[in-house]
Amino acid sequence: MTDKKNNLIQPPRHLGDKVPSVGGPTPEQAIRKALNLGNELARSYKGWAVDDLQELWEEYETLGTDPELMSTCITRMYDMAHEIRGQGGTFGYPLITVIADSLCKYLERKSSLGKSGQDIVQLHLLAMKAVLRQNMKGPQQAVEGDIKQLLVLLRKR
Amino acid sequence: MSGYNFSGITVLVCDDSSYIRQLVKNFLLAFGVKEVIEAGDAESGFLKFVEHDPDVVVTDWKMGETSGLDLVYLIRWSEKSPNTFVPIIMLTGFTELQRVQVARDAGITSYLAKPLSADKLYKRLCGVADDRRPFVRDGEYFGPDRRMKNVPRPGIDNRRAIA
Repeated sequence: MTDKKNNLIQPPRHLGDKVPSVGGPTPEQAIRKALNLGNELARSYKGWAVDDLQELWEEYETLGTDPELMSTCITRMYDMAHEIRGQGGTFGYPLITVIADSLCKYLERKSSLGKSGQDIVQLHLLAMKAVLRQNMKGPQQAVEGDIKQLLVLLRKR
Repeated sequence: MSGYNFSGITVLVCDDSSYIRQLVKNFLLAFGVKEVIEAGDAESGFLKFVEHDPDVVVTDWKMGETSGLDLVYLIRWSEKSPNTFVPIIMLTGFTELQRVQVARDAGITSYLAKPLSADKLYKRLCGVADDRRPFVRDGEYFGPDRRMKNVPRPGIDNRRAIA
């Protein structure tokens, strides 16, 4: 069915027709089961996060070696930081997301970095390494606000 | 009391991170979804979409060299698409309002910002199940009517129906 005047088209089928609002697990049961399965995966997170961070560090080390490749290198670092940003909080390390988010904001739309810019990138990487080494899992309300503020100041330099 | 019954649906999950894919798959199976198909980029995502004709698509935005927006475009416009009206949930680390607008203009049904949680994904899935918005074909846009907010199905316990 279409409403030509407003270019409206009724979809021929709706997801709701296949998903009754009753008959499945309660939201509490569904979410509890999902959390249990998610926790199993979260236990492995630190291992692969350390590897991802190492890759990012290696990319950082090539930053200043060839000026012609710097833009590509920054793009790759942005992509890696973006992945880490999405995964950190998802797998129980919200501080990783905070720091990776700051790094993404810093690298976005940049095509080159001077020495001080490279130092700012390095500080972000060291901060993420520290979070993993100190095993700072779960909400870190005591330091999260301070770290966010510190990162804003750092990016302004 | 019971909740939404997802046991009759198949979901395609497209994300270049195998960890995120595994997590989303685990969550969906815990919610009772019958089958979860996985893809790691937009191209293979579309091939699997054509092959399996899933009921819902959950896609990342940035997937290496490919983009979730490419997948949305193929699903909504390609002659090969088995269901141009399929609900698409974009799951992404991008949280800027401008990005949300771009995704909306590409024709997604719902937007879900990472970090991901089971609670947020469950609510989005219920939301798209309740979504009865008509589609609009207007020049370059084809997708759910952006002027309308999703209204839960009549008769549903609205405490659970969160878009």
